[in-house]
Amino acid sequence: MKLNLSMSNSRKNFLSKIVLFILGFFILEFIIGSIFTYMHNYNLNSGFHTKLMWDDLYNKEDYSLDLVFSGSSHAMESFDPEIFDQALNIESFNLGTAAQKPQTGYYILQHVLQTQQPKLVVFEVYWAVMGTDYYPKQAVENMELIQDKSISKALFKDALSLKDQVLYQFKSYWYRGDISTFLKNIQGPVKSPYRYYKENGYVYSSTIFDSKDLKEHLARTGPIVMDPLNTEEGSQAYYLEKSIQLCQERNIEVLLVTSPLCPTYMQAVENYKETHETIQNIADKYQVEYLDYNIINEKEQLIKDENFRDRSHLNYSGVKIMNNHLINYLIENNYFT
Amino acid sequence: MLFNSIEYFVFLALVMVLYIAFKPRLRWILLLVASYAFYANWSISYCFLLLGTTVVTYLSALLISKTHGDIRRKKLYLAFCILANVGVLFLFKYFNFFNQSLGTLFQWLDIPYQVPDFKLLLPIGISYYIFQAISYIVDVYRGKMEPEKHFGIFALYLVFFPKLVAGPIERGHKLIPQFYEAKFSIAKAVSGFKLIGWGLFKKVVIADHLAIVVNTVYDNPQSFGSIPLLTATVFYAFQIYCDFSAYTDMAMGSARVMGFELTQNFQRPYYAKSIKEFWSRWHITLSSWLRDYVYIPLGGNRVRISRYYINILLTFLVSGLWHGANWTFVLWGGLHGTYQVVSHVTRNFRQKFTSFIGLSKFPRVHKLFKVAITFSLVCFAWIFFRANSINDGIYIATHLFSGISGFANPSYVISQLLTLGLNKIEYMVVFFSLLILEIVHLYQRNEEWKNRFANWPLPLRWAFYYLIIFMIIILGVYDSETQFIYVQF
Repeated sequence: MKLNLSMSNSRKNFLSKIVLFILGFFILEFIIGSIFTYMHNYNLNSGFHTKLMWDDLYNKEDYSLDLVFSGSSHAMESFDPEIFDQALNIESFNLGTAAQKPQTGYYILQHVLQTQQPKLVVFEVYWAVMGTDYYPKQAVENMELIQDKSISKALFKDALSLKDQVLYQFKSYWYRGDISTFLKNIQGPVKSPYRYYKENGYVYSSTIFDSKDLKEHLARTGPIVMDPLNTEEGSQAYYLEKSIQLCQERNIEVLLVTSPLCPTYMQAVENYKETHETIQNIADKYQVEYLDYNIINEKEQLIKDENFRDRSHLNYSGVKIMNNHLINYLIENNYFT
Repeated sequence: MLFNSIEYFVFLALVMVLYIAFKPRLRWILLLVASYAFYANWSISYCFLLLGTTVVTYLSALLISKTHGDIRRKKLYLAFCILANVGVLFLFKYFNFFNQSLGTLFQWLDIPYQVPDFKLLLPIGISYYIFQAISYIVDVYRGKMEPEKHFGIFALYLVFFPKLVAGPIERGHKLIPQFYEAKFSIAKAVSGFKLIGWGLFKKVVIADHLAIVVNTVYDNPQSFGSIPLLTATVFYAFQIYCDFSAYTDMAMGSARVMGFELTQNFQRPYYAKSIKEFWSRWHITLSSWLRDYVYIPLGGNRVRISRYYINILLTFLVSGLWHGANWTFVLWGGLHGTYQVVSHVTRNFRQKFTSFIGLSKFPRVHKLFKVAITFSLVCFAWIFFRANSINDGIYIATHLFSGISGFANPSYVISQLLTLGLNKIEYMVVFFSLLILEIVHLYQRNEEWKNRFANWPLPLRWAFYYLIIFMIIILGVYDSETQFIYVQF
């Protein structure tokens, strides 16, 4: 009996140690997590483009926007609202954020349409963010800045795997990448004259892309074959369709636009037609127009390699060319009469 | 399901809880089902291949035990079982390699040769479980162990999930009895979890950081000079050690939490004073397997000296080929065999030379010298192990020291290092982690240190554990779940 009691005590002792160790872990996680959260917030307020976009958006008066652009960095760096506002005498805004997938874009749009009723929404359709690759960071960055908690929560649940939903609770893990950015940021804000957040969601760049390396690379690797776009339920194309439906339910006109990639790259793509047709089919399904500047550029040769900052993002010279072309299209088709 | 994934930890925790809940006599069923589920998570269809290997080896061993002294039949069953196992390994792992090599040879000789390749996925862990099956059947044949009558237990021996995909290569007489006798204990479980934690640290904090530099350089060696080539080569030595020993630690830890002891695979190999000693410290279960089932059957060292050298070379060529169907691995194995032969040939000369220059009067310096030479030779051989092709390997080996004078300029060295994928903070993380690794090595070597650590006050010990845990969480590389190097073999 005595022996049994002592065994029980040792087991109790062991269990209490385990509980204490786990408790210690959570206390440390809370402390380190709080420090990392501080660093993360500091970084957000140190010129982070997504934060600046959301701040700008929340400063807009309700129902003041006429034109909204939605998409990834491809949108963020392709549409300068200032050009549209001056030419069309409207107020526009660019909701593009880095690597934003249509799934994230759908929730952002849902939130924006709570307080805005634009006449037109332009969806920038870029196949690179419509693949099946899992990239939760782009969803979390926006989720943290959306002020409507129910939409923010819905995005969190929809875009993140269960594993990442759990891991997100451990801030020492989730924000660990913020340390090096924080160490840079505390040395003072560094604003590059070549690339910076301008206003109304647009990120300006004046860097000129040197396509020499790309040409050499493509000469080595040969033609590029693109994977077919997935259009099944739950895919990114499916969320693009949901976004179009959301707009149409609210009598908002929709236009699909693909901002160009540099001609050197596009010339190497072997099967672009298939990707284009997949998007065109979505446009046809919802009876909306689709402007693919890769196709337009192939015919009209408006934009050259030097109008890009890298192989897939326009610099400001390219933005001006493409935006003016789009403005002419909008005028010709009486979008803002 | 990789050992460094969340899914694996959930799986292990579930198996452990059920293991404790199950009656001891039924635990083998749980482990067998869990092990097949673990394998099926990678490929369901290849579970049948594993099952086929199990059935053939199990029945062959029973038949051998029933030959009652009929040597001819005994040999026949042994040969059948070995051929079946080696045949499977050849078909899945080596057929395309030999076929392509023959194709190249025939093309060179201008002889038409058109045998198509097999389009088969390499079954994960095949080299490990086939070697275990062979060691089992040979041990039964040699009378070193009785055949296992219980099919479930035997199947578990081949498929036991902690060591299924990358070893250690366990012997039947060591592991099978544990499935009857092993007992769960809290002390073992705690020790197992510590080992898993330590393995995870070595993998995600050290190996995966080093891998960034190694991959940058080795995937495009022609773009780099001697500083990156040398750095990446030394980094690879540590990467492969941390990666593989991490896997072994996690395998041993996973087994230990349920009360099983797997064989140690590493004994601080880079402290070896000769290549021979290196092989008694590196991938010990493979080295001892090759010794017992290849080298000794070839005659070992009890033959003429020329034959002895051939035996060494053959054993190391088999070792190279075991790692992968690629000439880079064969060359790596050949290099190690050549090191051993040259070491044996020059033994007397080296002893005399050491005495002549007076180095033998300073045993510590002499030892350090030997460790440094051995490490350099091992690093040189790793070049071919890691290189994507023989040509890349030759390029790296011949350009390691071209431009070595750049090392005299620290700022140039730093600027070169910063082009290899890691920033200054990440390099500091790597060096601090390697420092911890070496301290733990010293601790593992020294019993007195071990006891001293065990007697540290609880808060201090826990502080060390928390340090390791938070280093894993904060400093680990998780961008993509990187594969363990030895899983691909």
